[in-house]
Amino acid sequence: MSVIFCRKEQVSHPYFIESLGLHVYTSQELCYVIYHHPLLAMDDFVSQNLIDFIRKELDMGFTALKMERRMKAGENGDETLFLFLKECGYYTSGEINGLRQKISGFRKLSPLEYAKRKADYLFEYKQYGKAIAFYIRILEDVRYARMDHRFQGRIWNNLGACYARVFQLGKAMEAYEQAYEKTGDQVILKRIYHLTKLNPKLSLKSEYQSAVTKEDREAWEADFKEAGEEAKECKEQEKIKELFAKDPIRRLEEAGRMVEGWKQEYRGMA
Amino acid sequence: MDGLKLGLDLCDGYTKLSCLGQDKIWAFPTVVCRKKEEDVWLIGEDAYASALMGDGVIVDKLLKLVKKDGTSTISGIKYRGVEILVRFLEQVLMLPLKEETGQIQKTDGEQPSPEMYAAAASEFQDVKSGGPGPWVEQLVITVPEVEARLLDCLMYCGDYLQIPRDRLHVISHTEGFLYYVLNQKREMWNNQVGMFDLSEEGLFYYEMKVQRGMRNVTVVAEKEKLDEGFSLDVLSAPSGMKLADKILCACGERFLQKKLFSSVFLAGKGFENQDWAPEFMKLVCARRRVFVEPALFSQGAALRAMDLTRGKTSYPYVMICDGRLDTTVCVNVFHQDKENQLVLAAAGDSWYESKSTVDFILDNQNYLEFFIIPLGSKNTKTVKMVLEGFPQRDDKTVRVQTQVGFLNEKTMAVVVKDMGFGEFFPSTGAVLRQEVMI
Repeated sequence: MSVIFCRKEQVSHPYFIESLGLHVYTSQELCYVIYHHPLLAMDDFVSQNLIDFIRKELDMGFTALKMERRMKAGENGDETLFLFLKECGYYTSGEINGLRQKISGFRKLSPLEYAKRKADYLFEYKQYGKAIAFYIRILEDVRYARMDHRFQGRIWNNLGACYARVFQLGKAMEAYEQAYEKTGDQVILKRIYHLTKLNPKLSLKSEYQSAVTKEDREAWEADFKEAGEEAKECKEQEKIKELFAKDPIRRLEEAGRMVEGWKQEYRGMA
Repeated sequence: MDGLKLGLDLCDGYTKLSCLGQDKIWAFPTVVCRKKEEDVWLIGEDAYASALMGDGVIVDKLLKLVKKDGTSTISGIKYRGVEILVRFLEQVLMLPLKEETGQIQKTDGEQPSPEMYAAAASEFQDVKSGGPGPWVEQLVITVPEVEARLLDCLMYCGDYLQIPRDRLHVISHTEGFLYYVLNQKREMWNNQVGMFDLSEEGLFYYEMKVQRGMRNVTVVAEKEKLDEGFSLDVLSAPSGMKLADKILCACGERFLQKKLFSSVFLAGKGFENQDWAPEFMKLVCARRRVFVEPALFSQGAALRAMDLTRGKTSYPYVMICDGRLDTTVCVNVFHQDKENQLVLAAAGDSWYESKSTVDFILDNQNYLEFFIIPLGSKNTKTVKMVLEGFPQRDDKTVRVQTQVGFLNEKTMAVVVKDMGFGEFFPSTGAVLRQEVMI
């Protein structure tokens, strides 16, 4: 339990963290990103743009200079991040050491496993477009063929989930089919079945039909219905109901804002 | 023309103005008069004259009027107290400007050239049209007691007269006394310094002590209003003079005996002439250095004004007096693995001008703890402010803005606002305000 003093930072141009789709206004927020999203902060995070932001906007010229020198000398990027965390004083030495261990754990993963973790992380933060690019890169990697079927199936499954979230249902179907081929997992078949319900133009391949029993079909139907019912009760629906209860002028204004918000969200995802 | 450095002693009964660089001290009653037929305002003796002639309406006791937010109706127009005070101050501040521009005509017997006349006339026209504000480099107003309402009104007057906030300061008479004394040679304030102030406002005793510490020198001044005070009118009769002398002797014995004084000052209109107090003068001058300075407060204020124009203060002392804090307020903060004390307000700061805004991050706690440390005492008081209604997150993402100000010497006002944490956690808009007795 403690109180941390925040230095005055007059940031007029916040730094945009593309992978999170968020702007950062203070040194504390930047530290928070590094500490809580190490997978996003590793690799190409320390850039000239970031250093310029630290120098000009956060007014931490000396720290920026030290980071710049390290970057130009080709030193370990992780150490540059730790340097920044230490200079800010937002996290204690103990917390920074904990992060150091976490990052070194990630570094020990195989390259494809590491890439998958990163892509999964992007998926978790709704950065579907970027996650898709990462999964495709894994699929194109020469080492991919050497990985076991389970791993390959997980990549295809996650890729399918990404496509489904951005409403590219055809591509999602293809990815799920690949995943099913690799793993034979019934859960994936259920997802394929649900895709056919969402888009009637899609259909379950004839070779998969035999794997679906009558009971499976009934259970999946029930799940689909239940999901539909849940969607009707979600917060977004409530907001829309409230919107329509308002007078026409305010309704139009707020509807405009809402659609704009959705657009922004979708752009961030894609 | 250089910017003016002014010290203004503003009381209900009288006003005195000192301008550094000009020998003259303006002293006049605090009255203002508006002519009945035109929007012309007069002050001091001119105001009395106009009122006696019957072509103006006079308003007096301006500070009282302002403090109670009173009004006065002149020629059918209702003026708020602060509006009248603005008119008064505007006229007061014109006095040194008139003097400065008039100087050009007083060259030693030599006839000034027409160009010099023209330049002076044009400068004065500028002053008349733009008001005195832009010519003021520093204005320090000294008042008997520093009260928030009065200070707010004086700041409003400053704004109206286009004097930027950083060029207008208000201090107490006690602080004016401190500046005046500290500007004298050190031997005059090595030990205690006493002062009697006798004016239309009453009889007051001031005392200043110097405390030499390890780090800095602290000067403490106190003021006491004496019940024995009398009207200066009694000094017009021989019997009144005798009585007044007796009263002062009693006060002198009470305050000056058994103490070592480096010097004693006599201030106020009552001491302009000391013939009425032979016994008191005998008593006070015995083995002491005594100085008479009728305009001591305005002089002290002018010295403060001068000091404000310097990059580094010539008075590097912690000053404790009316209008200044006698406690330090701080918060314990963590930085680079160490706990440090962050001072939000220091003993010796002007309570009116002491305002600080800092952002804190609460790490796994829902309260702020203030430490109130009285000067020269080890009894630190802790005030815990529980932030009810604020979000609770345990990952160092509760950022709060803390504003600390003072309503008077003893009351601190704290406002804490939830600032959110960037785009990660938007602000909930939670705000908490608390007054803390220090």
